[in-house]
Amino acid sequence: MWIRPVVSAVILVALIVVGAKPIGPAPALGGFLEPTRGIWGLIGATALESDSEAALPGLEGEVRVIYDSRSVPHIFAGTVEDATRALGYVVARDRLFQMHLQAAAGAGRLTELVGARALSMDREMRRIGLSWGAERKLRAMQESEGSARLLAAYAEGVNAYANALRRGAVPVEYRLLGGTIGPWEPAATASILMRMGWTLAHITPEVSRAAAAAKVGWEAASALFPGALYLQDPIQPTGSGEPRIDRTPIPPPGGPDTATPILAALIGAEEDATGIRHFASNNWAISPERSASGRALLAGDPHLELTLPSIWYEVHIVVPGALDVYGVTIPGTPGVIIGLNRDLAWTFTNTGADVLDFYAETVDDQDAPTRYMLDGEWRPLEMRVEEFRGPGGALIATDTLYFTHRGPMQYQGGKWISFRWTVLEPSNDLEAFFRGAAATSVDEFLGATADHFRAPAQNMLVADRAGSIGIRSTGAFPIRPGNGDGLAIREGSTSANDWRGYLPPDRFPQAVNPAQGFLASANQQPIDPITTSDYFGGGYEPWRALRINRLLREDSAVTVDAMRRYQTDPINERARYFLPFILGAGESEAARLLSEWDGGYTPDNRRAVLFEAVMRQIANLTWDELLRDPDNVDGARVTTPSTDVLARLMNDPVSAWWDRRSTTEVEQREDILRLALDRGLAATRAAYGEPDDDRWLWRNVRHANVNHALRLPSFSARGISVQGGPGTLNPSFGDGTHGASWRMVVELGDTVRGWGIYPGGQSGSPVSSRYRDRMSRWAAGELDELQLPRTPEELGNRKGSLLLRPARGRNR
Amino acid sequence: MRAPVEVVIVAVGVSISTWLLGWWAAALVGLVFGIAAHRGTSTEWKGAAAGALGWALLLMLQWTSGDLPATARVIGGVFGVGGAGFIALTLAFAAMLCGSAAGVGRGLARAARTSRPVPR
Repeated sequence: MWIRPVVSAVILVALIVVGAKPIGPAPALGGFLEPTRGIWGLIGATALESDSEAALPGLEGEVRVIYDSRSVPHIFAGTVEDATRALGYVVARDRLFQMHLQAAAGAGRLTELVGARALSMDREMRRIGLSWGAERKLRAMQESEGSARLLAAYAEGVNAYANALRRGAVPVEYRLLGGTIGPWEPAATASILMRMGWTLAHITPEVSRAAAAAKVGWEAASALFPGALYLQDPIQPTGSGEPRIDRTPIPPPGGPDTATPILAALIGAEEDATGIRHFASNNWAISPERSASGRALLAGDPHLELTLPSIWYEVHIVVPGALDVYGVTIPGTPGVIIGLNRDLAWTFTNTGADVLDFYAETVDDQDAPTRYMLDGEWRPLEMRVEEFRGPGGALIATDTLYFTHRGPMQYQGGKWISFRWTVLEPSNDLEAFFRGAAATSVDEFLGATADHFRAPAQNMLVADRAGSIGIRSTGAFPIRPGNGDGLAIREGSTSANDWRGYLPPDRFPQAVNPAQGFLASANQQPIDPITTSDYFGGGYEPWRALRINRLLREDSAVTVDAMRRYQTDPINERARYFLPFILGAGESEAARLLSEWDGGYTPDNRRAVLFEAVMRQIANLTWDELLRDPDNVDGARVTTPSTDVLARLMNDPVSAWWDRRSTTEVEQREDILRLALDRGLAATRAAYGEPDDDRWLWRNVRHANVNHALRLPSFSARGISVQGGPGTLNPSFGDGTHGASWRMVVELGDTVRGWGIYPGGQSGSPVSSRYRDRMSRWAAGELDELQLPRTPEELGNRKGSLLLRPARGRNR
Repeated sequence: MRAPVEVVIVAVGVSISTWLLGWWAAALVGLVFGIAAHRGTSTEWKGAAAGALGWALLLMLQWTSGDLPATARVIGGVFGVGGAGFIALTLAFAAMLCGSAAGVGRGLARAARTSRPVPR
């Protein structure tokens, strides 16, 4: 008779234990599964109510927030500070976990959210000085009274939402990770900006060059990673109306530079030996005389990591007499980053400028340095002990970091190397966004951003209602001593090698209302290097730039719809360049198949897959001199030159680079192309079957994969068919995790009209119907018309509304 | 009292107490039910049914404010059990909690009765 109660008691105790305590990665099941306060409480928690109200401490007056049919909040406030408080509130309402996660990632404090598994990532972020730099950036931002007030107001808004959050509405990620929601501090905003700087401006061409030099000598390495593109169609128009081709030949491979492997080790291993740059962007603007409507047009689509929720959040802020701006903000930052107001529209692409330099330092003690040598004297090192803590606050690890006057110093390859990087320099970049959002003309916008924006340097494109268009590569571009470039490791013991300052804005690459009637940037070199002595670096492949320039040169009556179509244009200039060489190599089955192709990457195309396979084979066969292990011909390379360099090489059919070191014959270009065709076809057959097999369809080959930060499949959208491939205006490459993160087209007439979309949805809650409601339209290349009401009453189709009232007391 | 009526009454108790107190209240109600119904049969099974039904009622209430199947699908995906599996997991947890507590309550009540001194 005792068996039943004993078994019951054992089960009960076990259930109480797993109900109350997390077991392994699983959350405490009781609170998690509970229908009211648990995970099920999320049902409806993210719904936008038609008439909700909330108290917001610090508000000076009431703020009305109206959500339109696309869930975009339109904030109507009496002051900019109140609007910023409301912005913090509404962004936190939809993206609270994302904000905290991004801030933690930038600050190197992910372990506090996810535990020790993030320790190596956190260490890297602190090691490169992001948390150190964030403190400097925050101080610089708070030196401006206006910026300081807005940072504080934003934090008040975020915290007002978080503090009033009922248990059932706590974001699912916190429940899965078991963490708690900490207060939002202005420092978190600085960390997010630092993280963006790291994403876009941690570019080290020294590494690729040194890695190549270790294999083929410096002369060849310099040609493989040149300061100037072969196909030169720069952002600042040259006036020639066509790309300039740099005929400089590539010198043959030399012998290994025996000193260079040490040098390469000093500055770290090659990060991406495939040569692919994931972060890119397009933007272009049309003068009224080349648009069908006679109005200026502007388009932009930054290519970043595709995430759920999106890195962007759409918002409209109206403060009568002060601000009326619509666009996308980065959750955690108190401003619109890309967008439009009643007079102008703007968007950015990344310059990819070289703004990071290494210095070999002399220290007093190799094992535990306290001083470094500068101009014959010992200078004290700044030391910081970085602590890494777990979700419960327990100390996981500590690191001691050293800083010279230049920046962080690391021990690598048996030497102490410091580096100076514009991202770590104190700056108040937010001020540029605040002022830019209130600008009324191209000149005013370019002036405001040039005065305040430092890093990561961006190609800022703007068009206004008066019909002006302008672009300026804006940011801190260092002036270096010596030959002026940033391609060598400098001796750190002398201040003569330090940066001499930064280029003034009048030396930034720029153009306003050019004769050609349009401006375009796709991360190509901002200015033709033969026209300037200033060094910017940068080495994105030119194909997207060539394509958009060709489209805009050929279209003298551009429409809004054409702008939209260009953003997902399937034609690849890279394919059009290489195909004639490939097809001219001789007859073969692969050549016959490719001869049927138009160079398009539409979802129903059956030949793009073969072309990509052939291109991979060409790179493998051509760059065998750069193999990590020369005896392993199928192994990895230490680095890979861009396809722009391969394009240059195509013009030299007998170059020594075509010769394969693993054979006794001397191969030339045609030999390599024929072999690449055969091997590419064989590889494609092996992977996808015969050429008429549906597996050859591009839509079955290339997908966008939009992951949630926790990489949980049910929170992510994977396997989305897209139009585009490597080198097209809508690029898709690698594992499909990067692409157009926001597409926008704006027409600037008597009234300003805008269209836009990003992959995902406004809500950051995976269970919300607003989490991924835009995904299919984004994948199809469609845009939504943006609603721009001047007053709450003008907005007809509403999804919800929120009245924020002043409350007594202030939040943390 | 007929078993279905018993189960419904206890289920309502589970719903209300969970709503007021938290997940562990399902065990509390089960325990009380087990003590009260210790003379009856199938006490654990009735408790389990009441636990599942009680939480099912709460889930149905949640459904009125949003898309319960979609939520189940997304969260169930995290645990690799799918939407239906996640709903089943939730109800099974409540059932086992309430049912096992009822079993303990029944056992305690019976032990107390058998250990009581027999009046002379």
